[in-house]
Amino acid sequence: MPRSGWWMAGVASLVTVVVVASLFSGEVAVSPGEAWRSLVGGVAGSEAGSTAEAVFRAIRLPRILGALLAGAVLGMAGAALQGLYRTRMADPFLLGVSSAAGFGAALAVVVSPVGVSSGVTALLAAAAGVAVALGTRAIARSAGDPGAFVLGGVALALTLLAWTVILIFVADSPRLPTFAYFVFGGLGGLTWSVVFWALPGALVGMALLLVSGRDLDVLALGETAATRVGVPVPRVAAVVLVGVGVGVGASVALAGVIGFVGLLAPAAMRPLVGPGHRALLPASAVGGAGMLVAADLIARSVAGPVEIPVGIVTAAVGGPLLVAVVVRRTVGLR
Amino acid sequence: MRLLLAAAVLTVIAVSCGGSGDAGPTESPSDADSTFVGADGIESVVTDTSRVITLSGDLTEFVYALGRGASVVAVDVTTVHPAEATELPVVGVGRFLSAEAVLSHEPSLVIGDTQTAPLEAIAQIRATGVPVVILEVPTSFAALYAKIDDLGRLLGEAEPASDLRDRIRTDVEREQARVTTAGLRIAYLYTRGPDVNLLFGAGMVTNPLIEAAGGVDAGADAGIEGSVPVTAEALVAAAPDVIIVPSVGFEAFDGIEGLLAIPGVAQTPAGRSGSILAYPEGDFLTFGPRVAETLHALITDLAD
Repeated sequence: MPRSGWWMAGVASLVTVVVVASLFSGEVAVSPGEAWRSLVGGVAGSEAGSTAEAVFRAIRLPRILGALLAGAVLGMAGAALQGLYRTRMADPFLLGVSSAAGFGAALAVVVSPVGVSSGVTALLAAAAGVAVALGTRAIARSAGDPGAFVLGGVALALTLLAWTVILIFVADSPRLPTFAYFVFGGLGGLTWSVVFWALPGALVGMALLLVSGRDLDVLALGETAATRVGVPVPRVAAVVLVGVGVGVGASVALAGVIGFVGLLAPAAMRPLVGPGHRALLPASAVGGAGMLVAADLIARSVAGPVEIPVGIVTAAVGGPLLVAVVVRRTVGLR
Repeated sequence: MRLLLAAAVLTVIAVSCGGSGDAGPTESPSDADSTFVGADGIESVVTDTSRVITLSGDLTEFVYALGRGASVVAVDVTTVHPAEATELPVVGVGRFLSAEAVLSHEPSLVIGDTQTAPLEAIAQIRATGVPVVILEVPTSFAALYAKIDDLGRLLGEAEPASDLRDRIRTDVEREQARVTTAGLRIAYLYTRGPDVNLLFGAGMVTNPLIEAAGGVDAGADAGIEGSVPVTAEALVAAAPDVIIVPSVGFEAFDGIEGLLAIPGVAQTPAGRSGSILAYPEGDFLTFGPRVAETLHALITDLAD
């Protein structure tokens, strides 16, 4: 096994540990036996025998599965955007894609005030995500340098967040606290129905990114060089950006707007598996999944029984890291 | 930036504590003893009321007043009365619920109201098989009496509920007979300090209280639905003769002098005459079994 293989085995084990810790953490104590009976009973379709079994099956499992999915999409989307735009500072949140999907999700809550309409939420989040993801290419082509490009994205993200908040103020919906999930990120409301509706988008999004791996490697040479060796750059960009939009839309439907996972996951994985996208994309998915489950564990442990929005946790950790990335670039320590 | 947004959204959530529709929960005709259709239209099958969690202070007070305090296993943070209830475990904030925090107390029945949120948490609790019954937040005395009857049916305490309802009605009517200051414009200004100032209007529990005390709800009269972050001009336009604030805000501002510093307050008739009343929010904003006492204090103070 190559060295990167050993590294990935290590990362996968670490993620497994975090997932198991997360499955057994919460206000309701669940024993391994109860978890097992809950799983077996769930497969057999029988009623849960105890509160712990019911909580494990109806709350913990969809929550952690949702965190894994959302984190995987964000990690992979970050790696793909960084490859496409050739800057380590690209991230679905910083470029406005997450905020767009959050606006779409909030809009879905406004138009369907009663009942939990996970399907509408996932659809509108994905539509808004794709629209703005494709729009980032226009910003990239106009911006002179990566700094201006990311700044343009951040401006777009803040604008969309502002419009989401305006929507919240105007809507006066009984579902207002639901908005908080979409604005700050949170996995506290996940049910199987949400996971069910978000799963197709997450899988399609990641598939579109994975098939673009080889082209993204060639794009590292620059768009002109890539075109010269026969890579259809506009088409590759479109596939990647649609993949990012659809995937991030699903992640927002699952967990709301969560920043910095797309920044941190590739940054952590690149030293382990190298810059090649066929390894980096799946590795970033694994890393992002683990990070989001860990952030969620922190979010619901520190202030219990009240949960901190998970997006606040990732921002608290990811913000300083972005500063570090910027400083290293500027000071030239790389 | 995110902290600012957090503050904005929390404000929004506070603002959302307005009223909603009037349709009270109704009993399903099919299975009168165990099936209950809540204000959210969801039918719950309630077979066991031995372990109850209440998600709002008034609900806690009513369950105790119906003689079922012993069945309450946990409450939400807005419960301030009776004293035994404040000793119980707190599951967090009913307006921002965590499903697991509720389920950790193994409830057989969770009672919330239309302000209980987020709906996702309610869905999660229901997914584990625990019934969550949502009741209307009453914004009139008629709705309050209907809610008492609903709770009585829900808990299998119909007769104590009917007694409690009649007693409250009698007490309220007795208090209303004492009113000597009809027609005063009264505004409820929810303040906890310089950063939070909400003017309450129609659809808030303060509205029937003010009207029962013979006053005109200045907020509702100025067209305010629910509660809105107050602007100086809106306050002046509402022109209240009396302003009521929560005690915590009164103390945060060091009394009337400090409250006059809120933009607009000094320019209202209430500000000019210093007619500012303060009541603990756990009493004044809990439209519960102690409502006649609250009304008594308000009518007495208005007469002074």
